[in-house]
Amino acid sequence: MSFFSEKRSPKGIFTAINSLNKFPQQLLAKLCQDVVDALQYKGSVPQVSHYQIQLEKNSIDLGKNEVQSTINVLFFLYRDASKISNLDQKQFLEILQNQTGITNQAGKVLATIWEREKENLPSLTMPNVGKLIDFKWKVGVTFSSSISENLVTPFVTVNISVSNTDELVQTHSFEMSVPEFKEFARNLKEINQLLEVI
Amino acid sequence: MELKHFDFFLNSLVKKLYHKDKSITNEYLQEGVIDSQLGSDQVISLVDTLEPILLQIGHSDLSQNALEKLLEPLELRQDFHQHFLKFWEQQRDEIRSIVRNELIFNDRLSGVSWRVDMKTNSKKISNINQPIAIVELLLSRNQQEREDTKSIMFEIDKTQISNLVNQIEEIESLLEKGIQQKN
Repeated sequence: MSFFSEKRSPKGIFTAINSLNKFPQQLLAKLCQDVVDALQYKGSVPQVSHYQIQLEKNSIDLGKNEVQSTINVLFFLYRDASKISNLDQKQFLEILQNQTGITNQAGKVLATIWEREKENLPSLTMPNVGKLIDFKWKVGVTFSSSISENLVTPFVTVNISVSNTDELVQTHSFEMSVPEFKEFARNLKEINQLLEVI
Repeated sequence: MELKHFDFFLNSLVKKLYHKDKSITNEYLQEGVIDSQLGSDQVISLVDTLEPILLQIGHSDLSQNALEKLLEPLELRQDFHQHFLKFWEQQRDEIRSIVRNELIFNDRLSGVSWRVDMKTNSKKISNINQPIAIVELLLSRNQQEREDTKSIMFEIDKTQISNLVNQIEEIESLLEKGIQQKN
């Protein structure tokens, strides 16, 4: 879903841009640069608290959520723009102004950084990554088979449904022996731990 | 025949029966023991004796005791007898997993890889910069002696993975109970 090419705006963008409009010019430029650096893995994601403090110094009072939304919207805009080939500064600014309530001044800051960095931002397109829609499982024990008479062994069968970017749902089914399942379980638990920590 | 020849037979036959190595023919075996006194008739006879035993212990996942019973009527030389038992002890796990995988007729999970990203594109601004995991599952199927692999990729967020892990833990406790009952 693209902002710059399809003119589709994510929910909450107006509010986020309103908050962004309140930033002093230099601080906004710094934030844009930080976001662009983070997208290139040159720096870490901008810290909300840091920017809140800087805003306070300029007597601007923005809550944590509002500052977070400005960071999010900049990530969104720059990432979206980088997917479009030949988006120049003028088009960037024009679309931004037409689609949101961004002020002239703030818009120019964003567009200037875009012009400077657009060659450096990698085309951050992802391969066909779908979303997990459904996960079903069953555990069965195989009593006997044509291959082996006595091998009484449990198998875990999983049925997963994944929707891809075109909203088509595909269902895949696979079986795991106990050791294979343990490896699968280990991976998922590791992911869970990591996502809890971040 | 010396112990090393006997060992060669055991290893080669496992390759033939379980790893489906087509190059292990009787001629191959003959060549492998060319420095022994064994004639081609004796090689064939040995293969005919050892193969059914190797098949049975693998397909039925027999214990050491069961193997002993199978070997008794053969009246093998003491060192061969011991060697066979030791050989089975070493090979059993691997062979068991080969047989188990043969029982998976459709797709099996042949690989899992993943990474964690920060989400930077979403329908809602509030979702951006949430961590998400991208998981790739490799599913393989044995088709006419080839292995076909397909890859499925999907993203999954904190809530989803947490739910998934709950289900995983349910499966784990079922397997525990099942294994305990068997023992």
